Amino acid sequence: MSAIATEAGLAGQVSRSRGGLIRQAVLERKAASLGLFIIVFFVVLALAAPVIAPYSTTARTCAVFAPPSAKHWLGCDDGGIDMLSEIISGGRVSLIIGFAATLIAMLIGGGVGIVSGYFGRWIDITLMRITDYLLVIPDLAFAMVIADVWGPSLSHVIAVIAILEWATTARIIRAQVMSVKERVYIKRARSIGASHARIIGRHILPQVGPLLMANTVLTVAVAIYLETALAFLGLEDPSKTTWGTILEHAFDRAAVSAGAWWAIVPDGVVITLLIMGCFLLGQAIEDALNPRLRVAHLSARRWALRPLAGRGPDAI
Amino acid sequence: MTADGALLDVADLRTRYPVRRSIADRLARRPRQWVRAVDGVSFSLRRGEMVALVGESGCGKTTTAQTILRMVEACGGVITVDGRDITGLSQRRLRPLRREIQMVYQDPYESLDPRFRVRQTVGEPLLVHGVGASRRERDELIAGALERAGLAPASLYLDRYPHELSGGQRQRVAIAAALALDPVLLLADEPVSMLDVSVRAGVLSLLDGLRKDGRLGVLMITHDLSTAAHFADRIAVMYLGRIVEYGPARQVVNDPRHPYTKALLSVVPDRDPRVRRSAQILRGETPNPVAIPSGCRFRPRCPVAEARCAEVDPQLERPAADGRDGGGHGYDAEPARKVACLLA
Amino acid sequence: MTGTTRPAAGTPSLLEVRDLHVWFRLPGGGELHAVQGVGFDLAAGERFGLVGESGCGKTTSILAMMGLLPPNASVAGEVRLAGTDILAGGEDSVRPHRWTDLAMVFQGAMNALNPVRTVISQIAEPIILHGKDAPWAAGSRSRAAAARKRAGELLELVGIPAGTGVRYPHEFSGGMRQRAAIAMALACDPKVLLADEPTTALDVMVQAQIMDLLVRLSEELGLALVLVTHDLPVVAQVCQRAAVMYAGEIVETGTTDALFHDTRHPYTRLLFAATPDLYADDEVTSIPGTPPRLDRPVVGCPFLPRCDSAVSRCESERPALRPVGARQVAAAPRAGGAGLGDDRLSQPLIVAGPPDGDAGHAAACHLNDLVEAPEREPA
Repeated sequence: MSAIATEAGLAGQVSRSRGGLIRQAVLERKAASLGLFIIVFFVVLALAAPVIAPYSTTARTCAVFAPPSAKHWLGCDDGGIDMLSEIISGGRVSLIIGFAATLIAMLIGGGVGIVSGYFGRWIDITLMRITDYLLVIPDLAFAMVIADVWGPSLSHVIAVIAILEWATTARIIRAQVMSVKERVYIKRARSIGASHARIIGRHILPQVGPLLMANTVLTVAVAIYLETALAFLGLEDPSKTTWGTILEHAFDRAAVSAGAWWAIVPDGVVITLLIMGCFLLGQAIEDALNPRLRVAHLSARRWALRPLAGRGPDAI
Repeated sequence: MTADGALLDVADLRTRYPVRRSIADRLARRPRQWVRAVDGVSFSLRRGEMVALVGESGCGKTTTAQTILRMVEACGGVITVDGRDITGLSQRRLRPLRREIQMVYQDPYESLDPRFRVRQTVGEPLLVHGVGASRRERDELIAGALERAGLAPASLYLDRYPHELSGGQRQRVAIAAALALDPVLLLADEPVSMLDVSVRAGVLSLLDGLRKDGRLGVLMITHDLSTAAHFADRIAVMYLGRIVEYGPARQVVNDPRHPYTKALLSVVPDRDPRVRRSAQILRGETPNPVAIPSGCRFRPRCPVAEARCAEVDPQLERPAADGRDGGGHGYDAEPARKVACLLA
Repeated sequence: MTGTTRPAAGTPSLLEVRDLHVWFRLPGGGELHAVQGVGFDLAAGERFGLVGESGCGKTTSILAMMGLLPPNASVAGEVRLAGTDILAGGEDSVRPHRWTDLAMVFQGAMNALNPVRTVISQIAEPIILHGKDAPWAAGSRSRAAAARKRAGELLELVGIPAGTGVRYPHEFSGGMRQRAAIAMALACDPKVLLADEPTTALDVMVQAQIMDLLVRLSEELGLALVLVTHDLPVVAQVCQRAAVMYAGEIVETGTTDALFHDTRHPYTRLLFAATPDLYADDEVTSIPGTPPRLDRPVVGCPFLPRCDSAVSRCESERPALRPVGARQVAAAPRAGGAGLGDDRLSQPLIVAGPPDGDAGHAAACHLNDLVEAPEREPA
């Protein structure tokens, strides 16, 4: 803590717990609130999809590449299926894939990171070697091989994304655990005789939690992106409707030359929006956790000078 | 073990750390070097006594405490607590003994988990060792420990978070957590150096009172000679891993025999501006414990070193000048003062 | 007239600080009044101590003097360097004087050295930046060389052999790094050096070396020194005059001798009593309570809740920093209250006559004027 912060924070004047800091950071920054809003919006949309989607996504309800109209707000795709319904239902599937893959990646990555960072030595070396190999593998090439070998299906897509993502999380969590491990209260817990499980569960995990949360949000963004990419490359089950397959169908069936922008653009927009929302929120949480990222001392704003009114004991 | 017997006895304790070797060193087959942080330390502590380990950074005082706590493994010597040799015990066997030895750390801002309320911090040792059959019983023990640490009424503090407490209060919480298991030995590593001056005396008096109770012995690590002189019964001055002077606090301060002790005492600034001691400022700084000088380790910086100091490594023993009666006899008298210097 | 502490009569003041106030805008709204009217004078070659515990405003005060406060701070007051108020134009008027006239050694500076640059290059950097090196020929090469040479001289000045300058900070010990930080502050030949806790993290032997260095620098170079610390004995041995700060204001100021032997504020007295002495056997006491919140205005004396000698006036009227008079006959001694030095503050004092010549001993405590001083005759 800087000297100024100490002097300003004495006698409990500025007392904020970590959780409060995050809440404050999120609610105070407009960018973060926007991000949160976007994510919540899409989650609600996805949950309500079966109810909201105006038309079926399997039965044909309009003409091929029909333009947007009052009945079909976003027009129709190459199979005569309502675009809006497709996007809503597709969003549900995409989000499921995204969240599921992220959850698995977080569990594996977090677990590996914690074990590696806490125990160190040969456990750390072994696990980090494995992590390094995975980090080095080119994502899409790997995905293509897996899709080829296993065959395209939704669960395979989830597995592939999870495998590709856990390594980054593991590294980040490991770094955090290694620094938390050195803190005095951890050493004190060891000297009392607390077991490793207790220390990890009650002392380290809560410290690592917020970082894990920030990382989760950012990983969701990557997962959505990867899902889109995999679908677009034809590595996903084409019979399922996801945001990625919508794009894939559109390009496959020459929507561009048909001038059917509504088959491509809205889909791209929602993907971009969700990824952007995740980034905004994730970055805000990370910033709140890491005071070193703050750059107030580099800002152009300066300390202000107040005119002195009066002298001596009457000054100001 | 009788009540007057030594609570803690450390005999010829040695702890060392390996120095990392580069590949070039390994290829050249250079012998591994060691940092001899604790290089033959012997002292004892009785119940109801406070011994201060005093020295500058790098002298090995903190490592000594960590070795006694078995957080760091000794490579030689014997540590005896309440009659039991704990030096070689496995961590599993050691666990129940951890109730008896507790440590209070230097940084009150770091030694408490920021997410734990005071109740949880002080209660954790109880949970770890399965003390207290019910929640109520544990709560009573927690409140008792808090009050013993000067935080009364305990109910005022139980649900607070560390960031809601001042530095002095946090340190008291740490002491309460150490007292929760009713230990016999308390190790205090610079317990007040990070606290404001106006708060220090309170915490030090607390530690003083705890050991005067008769139940505890306190080993205090400090670099502040004035604090040691005021609160400790005996002072052990450490330099480069060894104790160079050891004796009753007042005697060590008023009549130091080792040149290092004399120099240290001379540079402590006095709060009275009219008192100007002739400061014996030693040149340079404490050498690296990897390369400990031959003979007396203090020789390179000693203002009165002689030729023989380079050949003989002085042991900690009663100074010749004290004569046969220069110390105590038996358990009740003050233990004799010892110095590790050929010229004492 | 406020009791600003003055140097010995006849010495011109190099630095004059008047009515320095600092406020910090708090994130939740409201303001923290961190520095509340700090003032002192400093002559060349003089060593002045600013003493206080955490949160008293001492570091903020010197940061304000250097213009190094964060954007949420506002500053009022004057900082006059050889007559000119450098704060008058805000950042723009402070910047030309920063490092060239007024330099600072920050708290923990020894840990703030850039780990990937050699020590000598870091000392040469401000020299190059402020153009204050020996006469240089055109071209950067000779300017850099001249700066390096000067950096080497500075290292020698602080007691580091110039040859070791090519090493990196991690190869230096703590004491040497602190010396390097001091050398860096001296790079542009400042007239005033502000040192924030320069000896706090150091061993007592190294502390003595640094104290010795600071005294030598002020004596040989005529450097004026403001030593900010919580360590009273260091100030007692290094500084000629000092001010004790509490809750953002100076509560007592004067020569270090007067502060110890003629203590006029309960906080000063209690602070001394809380500092253990090697040889004295008096009881070491602590001061109960905590400092007041600075985000609210204080009614009465800010030290009142913790004071052991308060009178009723202390509740309603905030004492101003005023020169203290000579001690007169003491009335009946008050029970308790260990004093220090020759006189005991627990005994009520009577002020008679005008304040001592230019001893500049001032205190902000009602106990110093329990009997109203007679009205001054118009000149």
